[in-house]
Amino acid sequence: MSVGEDCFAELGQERILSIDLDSLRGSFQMKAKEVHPDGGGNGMKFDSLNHAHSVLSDPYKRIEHLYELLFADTIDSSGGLPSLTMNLFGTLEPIVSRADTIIKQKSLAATGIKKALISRESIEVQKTLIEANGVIRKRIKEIVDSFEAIDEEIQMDKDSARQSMQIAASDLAFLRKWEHEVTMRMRSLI
Amino acid sequence: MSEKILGIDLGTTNSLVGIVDSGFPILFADERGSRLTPSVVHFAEGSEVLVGEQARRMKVRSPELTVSSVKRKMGEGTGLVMGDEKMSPEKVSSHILIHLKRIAEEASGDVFEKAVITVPAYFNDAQRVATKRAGNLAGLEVVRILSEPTAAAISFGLDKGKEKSKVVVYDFGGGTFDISVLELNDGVFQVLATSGDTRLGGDDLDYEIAKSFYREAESSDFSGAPVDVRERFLEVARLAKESLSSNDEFTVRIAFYKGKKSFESEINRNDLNQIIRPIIEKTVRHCKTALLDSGLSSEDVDSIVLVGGSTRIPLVQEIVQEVFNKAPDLSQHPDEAVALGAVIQAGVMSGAMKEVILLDVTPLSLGIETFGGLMNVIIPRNTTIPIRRGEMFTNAVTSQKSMTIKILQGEREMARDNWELGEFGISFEVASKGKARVGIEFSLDVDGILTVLARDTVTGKDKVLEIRDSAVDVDDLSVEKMVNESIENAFEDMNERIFAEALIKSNELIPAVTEGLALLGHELEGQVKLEIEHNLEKLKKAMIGNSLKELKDANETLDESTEPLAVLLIEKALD
Repeated sequence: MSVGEDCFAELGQERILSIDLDSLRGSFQMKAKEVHPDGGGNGMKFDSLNHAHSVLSDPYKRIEHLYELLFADTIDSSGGLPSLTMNLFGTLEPIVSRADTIIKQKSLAATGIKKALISRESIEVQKTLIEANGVIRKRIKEIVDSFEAIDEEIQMDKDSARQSMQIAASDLAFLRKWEHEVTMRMRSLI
Repeated sequence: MSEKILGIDLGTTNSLVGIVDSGFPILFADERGSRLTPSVVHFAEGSEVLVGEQARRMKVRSPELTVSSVKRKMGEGTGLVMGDEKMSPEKVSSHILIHLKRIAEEASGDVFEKAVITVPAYFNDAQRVATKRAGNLAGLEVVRILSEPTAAAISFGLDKGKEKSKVVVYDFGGGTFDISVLELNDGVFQVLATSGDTRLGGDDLDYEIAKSFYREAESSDFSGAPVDVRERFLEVARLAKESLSSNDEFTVRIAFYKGKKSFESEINRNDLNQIIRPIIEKTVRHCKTALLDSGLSSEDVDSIVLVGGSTRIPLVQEIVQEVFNKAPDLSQHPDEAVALGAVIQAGVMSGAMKEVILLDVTPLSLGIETFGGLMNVIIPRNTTIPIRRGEMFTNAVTSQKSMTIKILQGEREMARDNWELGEFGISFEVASKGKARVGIEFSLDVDGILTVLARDTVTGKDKVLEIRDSAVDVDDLSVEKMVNESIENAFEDMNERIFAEALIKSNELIPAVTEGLALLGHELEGQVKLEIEHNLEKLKKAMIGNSLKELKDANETLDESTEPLAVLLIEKALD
């Protein structure tokens, strides 16, 4: 991200975390009409609009970007995790390693009948992965739902907001990593 | 007057062409009055090339000189053998495009030099580049490569006004399957997510149906049948499939396919559904992936638009309704919607129609291979295009002069499981470790095609890196006999490695089949069960013999005869 760039301004959005994604997309579409090469605009302008939209539509990148704008500093998302998120690790780890076992068996199977025999366990594992993904997404949603409170905090107490943003970013970074691990395995199994 | 641009749907089974005329998109008919041109090319004696219906009729007579479904070979870097000639898939495709161009020119009296050509949304970089090249070979400048479901969405949404709506396009054609989730908003068509399979279509359904007829007729392996016999069975399979979309029963008749031998049988819609269900079910996961990636749930979707010939099948419509919990929208002509969308886009680009802005996405992630053979994603799938992303590379050791970067496309974690688009070397100035830097910029254009630039950080100069050959020399291509895909049967190479490999398969099959039979054998039809048991014994005998062909055949026959058992096992697992 280049210095001085303001994705919120680019999309005509208020500088807040609790953005409404539907209206964000709407303003992306209307601005795209003006700057898209097919509409007579130039490539550079569309690039920066497209970039701004991809930053703001991702909760992690959004918090990272707002932090930079507010504190002229890079967010440190490697901090300790709140126990609420940390507890997830104990649930997710065994699911992922069981998935690895069955993925390996499946990739070694050379015949249809062998694959069919594995299918029952494979489907069970898929179900647990889908559940795990649901749990991760639910936790992400909880964090995104807390954005409104952080926005208020930014108005009231910058220092405490700074801390809240760091915690939320650490949480999201951890959850994104696990979401990736889980969806990769879902893709291998279906 | 604005310059006219052709809109072309270059399909696996059929192709269409049209233009915008006096503000309206129209499709041209050929001399038979048909707007659908079969995507079949026949290389007749001499240098004559037949395209379309004439070529299709030659397919059963001389399959070795006739190419159909060439779209499924696009971008593979394999040549096809046509008589004594070797030919690239794009060269074959260019004959179809030349034919379409001629249809348009004869019908309109104009000359065309430019075209918008549609491709499956899930086409990768190589497949898109090959399509563009096919256009060039046909004397057409390809001004846009347009994704098929996006094209269908344009034709669906053009007259829908300013209202914002969310639309899913389920595009199940002759050879490919795509699913796209879009938002339509006052002339803007934004693709939110897309997924698909470029090797899943009506052709696969025909093959499964033909296989089951053949099993009934010959009780032997369909892939081992002579090419002309296979063509006869495939042709009737297609007829049965089409007829059973509107009728409940179909009488299969294949007269004298082998000397005096004929095949006759009855098939009803339930039988058909049983054969094709596993293939149609494969589309379900793509629907789920696309919906998940779009961030929408099925309640958010306003319309599910069906396009592509295979969506005429009642079971397809049923399954779509199950997945999205909503009746699909059948307002679009399954064969023509994509072509009309291409024509509209061509009209927009030539200035003949009002502005439509397409915000399409890249279907596949783009990245580079990193340490440990992993893929490092630089542009994730479903990113809006056009897009540019930069990456900095530094020297890992002092005095390192260059490094090699391998470019990948795909969703798998391991680099080797993805498509390799190419590799190139970048050179460093001699400097101490970590000091030499080269910026690489990945740029995906509006056609979804990649170019890579290296930027010298000192001079700021850009250099385009060649990641692929611009012209593929057919002689350098690995050559494949398209018509006879079971080359394996042709050479009976008795080397030990192949024998050992076949044995590994046998050693997997025997316990698996035994276990499967113990679990569900009692639920199989008596005849099917007997056949499996018979083939099992045959394989056991072949294992102690020393004929590789016998062993491989026994493996294949057992594998194929256990298909109903496998289907049953999967069905039970799904319950």
